[in-house]
Amino acid sequence: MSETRRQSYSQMEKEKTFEKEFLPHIDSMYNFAYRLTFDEDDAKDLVQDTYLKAYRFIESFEKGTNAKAWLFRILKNSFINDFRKKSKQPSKVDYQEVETFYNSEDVDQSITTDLRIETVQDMIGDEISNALNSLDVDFRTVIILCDLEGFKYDEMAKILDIPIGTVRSRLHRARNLLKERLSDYAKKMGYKN
Amino acid sequence: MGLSSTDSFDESPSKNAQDVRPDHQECLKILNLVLDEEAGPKEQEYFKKHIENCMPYYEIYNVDKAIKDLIRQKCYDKEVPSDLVDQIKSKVFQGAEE
Repeated sequence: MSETRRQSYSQMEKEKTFEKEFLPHIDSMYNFAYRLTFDEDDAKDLVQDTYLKAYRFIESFEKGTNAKAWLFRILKNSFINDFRKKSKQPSKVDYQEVETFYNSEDVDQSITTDLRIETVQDMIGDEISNALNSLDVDFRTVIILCDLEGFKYDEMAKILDIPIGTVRSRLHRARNLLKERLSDYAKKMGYKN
Repeated sequence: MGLSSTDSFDESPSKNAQDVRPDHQECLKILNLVLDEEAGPKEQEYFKKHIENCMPYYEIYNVDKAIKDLIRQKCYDKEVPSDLVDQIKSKVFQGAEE
């Protein structure tokens, strides 16, 4: 994942690794890219760019390690460096977030939700998708990595270059924000019971 | 609807089970760990016991779980453009392949 030992690959191994280890993740990559950019052409460019970099730097990929996490990390960095700069959407996440959040007094307030399980289960999909898309990109990202892609916290920490404690607190905040959006939506739609 | 678990939690099921002292903050830390399958056996046990006796947490956990499941079911909705793999391959291998 890092600039660790360079691997040596023959040309044939490179191509094989690319085909067998990298390409199978294209669905996840495209889905992630689209949820970052909200634009099909940008998502395509971002995925393509990620694969080109992955191939160019294939010697930094340690055989036997998690290819999907490695690819996601490249994609996320490409997005930050190439796409986010172009877009007018700076990150709004407060990077002061810290693990001590869990020790704060207002923790209990932050967990109250008036969402009911039945309400959530009644939702047909668009609501959850729109609520997810409405979150700031950094919050959206942790939810995608964790809930959609099933990455573990330590993998997320590597992909995002943040400590595990920050992964946890960001995920917690992201989920609360998502619940707020869903709850607002439920009220509007008269789901409430 | 409660977890009719096999665990005997026979400390009198009173409101004031001080010896168990469910700690909401502790539980909050654990809630996401349990949800994301990152909790160790001890944490899982602690959490399970807590939600057996704590309706708000039981609700919150189940709502969170329902949302997590819903995301997995509904947010994987972008089809990869059919030509993308070929485009990538031809760029990467620079036409080395047919």
